[in-house]
Amino acid sequence: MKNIEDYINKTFNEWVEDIADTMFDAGKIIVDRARAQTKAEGGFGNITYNLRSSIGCVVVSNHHIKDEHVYFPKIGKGDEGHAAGIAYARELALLMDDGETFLIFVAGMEYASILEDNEIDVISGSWEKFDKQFKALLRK
Amino acid sequence: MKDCFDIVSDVVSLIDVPAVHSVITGKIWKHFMPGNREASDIIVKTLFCSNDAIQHGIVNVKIHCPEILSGGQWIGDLKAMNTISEVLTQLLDNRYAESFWLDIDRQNVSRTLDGKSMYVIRLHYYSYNAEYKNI
Repeated sequence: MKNIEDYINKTFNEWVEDIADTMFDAGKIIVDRARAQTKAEGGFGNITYNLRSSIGCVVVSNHHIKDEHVYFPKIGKGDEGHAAGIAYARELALLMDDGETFLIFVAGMEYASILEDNEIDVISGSWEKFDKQFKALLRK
Repeated sequence: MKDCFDIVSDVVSLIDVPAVHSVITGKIWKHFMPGNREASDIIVKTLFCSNDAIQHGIVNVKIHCPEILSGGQWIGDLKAMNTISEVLTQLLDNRYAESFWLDIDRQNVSRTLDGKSMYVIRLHYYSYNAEYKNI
């Protein structure tokens, strides 16, 4: 009986890990999309690189963020944005963690919401694509 | 499929009513509004809209009021914004119309890109996309 229980737990945990990995891969795609969006496409400009660097994602699984589940690639001179993005994602993870597996997708600079209030797409348009990406990767 | 013009028209159709006109001194604008207005106005704009079986869009309904002088500084007229937002909230939250439905995502006092105060009601807009083909 114990062996069966162990087997079920092991299989279930592997399955959760697979889901977390797939979720992270889909997250990376939408992060890249949000960062690549130009001003002409309804996105924001690129003056300091901080906003672009602050866009990223993390996956929280089993009360934990693995190092390989953090995606905030540095670009240009946007060190401040990069640090702000990671700090904000970790803060949200702490607040939201309830043991479930979930993805946090953020733009860490405070003025991101002001841009979206002025119809300049920062992350909302890219987040809209997440479901499709996630389902497509799950099917593979 | 509904485009951004249809979406804005749908939202405006809900708020272009006497209850709203009685609390604003200006107009309801679609997409663009002239600068330096001396009246309280509402402008409706979209952030994006998707093209899935259920179309989803984000719509901003924004309240602009002339700023007031307080303590030697020009600040947003929060009282006027509040009066207008209360009327709009009743008209926009959880609204199910024939071809679309709406849900308020968040509301906040924000700023225009030139630094003036405004009040933003951010909506989720959903519509059944009759032309969607997944084949």
